[in-house]
Amino acid sequence: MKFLLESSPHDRNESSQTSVIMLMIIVGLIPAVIMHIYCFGLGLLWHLLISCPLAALVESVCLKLRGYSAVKGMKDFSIQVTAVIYCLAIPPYLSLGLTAAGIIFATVIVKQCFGGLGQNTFNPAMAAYIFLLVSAPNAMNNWNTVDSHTKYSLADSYYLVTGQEDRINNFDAATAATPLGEFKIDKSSNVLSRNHINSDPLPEIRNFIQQNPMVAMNIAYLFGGILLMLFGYVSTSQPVTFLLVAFGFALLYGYLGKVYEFPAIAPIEHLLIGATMMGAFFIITDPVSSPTTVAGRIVSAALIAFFVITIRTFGNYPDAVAFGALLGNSFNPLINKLIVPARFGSKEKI
Amino acid sequence: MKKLFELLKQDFWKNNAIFVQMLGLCPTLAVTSSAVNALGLSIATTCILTLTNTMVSLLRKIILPEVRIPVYVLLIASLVTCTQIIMEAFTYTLYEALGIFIALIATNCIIIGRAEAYASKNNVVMSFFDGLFVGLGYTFVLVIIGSIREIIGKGTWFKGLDQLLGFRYADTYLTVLDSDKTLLIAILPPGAFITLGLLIAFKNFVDLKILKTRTE
Repeated sequence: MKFLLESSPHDRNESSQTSVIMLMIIVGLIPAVIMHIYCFGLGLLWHLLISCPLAALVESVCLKLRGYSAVKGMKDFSIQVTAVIYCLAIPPYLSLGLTAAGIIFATVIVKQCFGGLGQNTFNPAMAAYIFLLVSAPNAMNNWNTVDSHTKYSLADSYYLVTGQEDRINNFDAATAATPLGEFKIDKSSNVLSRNHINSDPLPEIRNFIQQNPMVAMNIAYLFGGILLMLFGYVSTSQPVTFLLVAFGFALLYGYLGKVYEFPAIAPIEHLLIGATMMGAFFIITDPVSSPTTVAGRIVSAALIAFFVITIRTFGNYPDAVAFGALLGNSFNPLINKLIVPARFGSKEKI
Repeated sequence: MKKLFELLKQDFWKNNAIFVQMLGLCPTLAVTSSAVNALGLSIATTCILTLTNTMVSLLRKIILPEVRIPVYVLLIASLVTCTQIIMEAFTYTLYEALGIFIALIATNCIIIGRAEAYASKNNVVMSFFDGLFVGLGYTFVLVIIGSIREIIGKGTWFKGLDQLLGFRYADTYLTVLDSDKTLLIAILPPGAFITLGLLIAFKNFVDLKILKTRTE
């Protein structure tokens, strides 16, 4: 007799099924998607339109080749979560060929080659982001600045992502590196003090978002993440530890930076720029690529926070969440071995 | 003749030095960033492999079994040194590009492995062909890995043939991909591991398919 192997949770409770959890995480990402489109234009739509079906297709082909049911694997939506996070991480007007290459890498190499859902050591979305960052560094650091592209139509943004800029009427995009790169060069620029106080709050908010798209994105992630946390779809311990430890190390490096004179970003800016909030709520909380015990997860989150702040302060790459997350992921087997819960029914630890 | 064909099948596919035995992986991963580098190193390795196999087989009755390993190492090292000097004289740019890996052919496990496992037990003719066939299998794999990595990473195929054949061939190469469509990771170290892993998986897949059609 042949038994069906299935990854946990085995509970038949409606709300704890993998597909429901994954769908809820996509719902939690909706604020970020809306904010992304508001800040960076419609490029994201095209990426989502390519990535999600392609990811599902590649995943089902891989499952078929591995001798599993192709439909069953697609029903849990885990690859769709990967695709959405990945699309949010890459620049909004990256060429579609690179996007496709990244999603294929994430699905085939990072997820299915390691054994599919529940087995992959590394976070597929972040691994794909790094894959592209290493493969096409220029394109990946090319984030269009905010002022020009919100007025692109859907067709214009299609021309942008397929590399046909010349077909757009009065093409005037200004491009710039991600803001984190800027901070490295020009220490005096300060995200939070750029806006001026107005009496009317609504234009004030719009102005703030347009001037600090990264901060707005992080607030959107924070909003979605807290909602997920309240409904219990994302663990509380990991984001809280991550943000606290990141804040602590940012304070430490800020102090050391003053003493030894190296550029360091203020702690609050560390939390509100780059991919900090995305990492805290949607990447390090990935149940597959984080340790199995709660204590282990706290250790892992603290470790990733340390890596992120350290790489940001001393490294050359503009953002460090992807590198930090993958480095932290590679510690998981060790953490799982060292932190073992007490055996059921006994008080001693093994 | 039939024996020779069987040997070719064993050395080239069934017991391929890289795909199956996974010997000599360090140069395989390190120099395959372009097809020409891969071809250059694998030709040098094939020559050395054939020569050492022949010489070990010739001397197999004189060499005392107790000291055979040091003697093999001595033989291999002297042949590698000769090859290195010859390459320095005739293909200097390739010699520069391959760098330390030519000298490191002496430590390639395939060579001492074949000397110990085959040449010390078989006659000269068979040992000669064994060296040649294993070398051909090695060349085959290295050129495939080198080609895949070069095409994906740089978009060209066999660029830099002048390093191997002289300056007249400097422009003899194919441009497969535009330079903005390449993925740089392929010519970086991770690309070597990923390509080799996928190729081994593909080889096993083919073997499985062959086995299935035979049993049916």
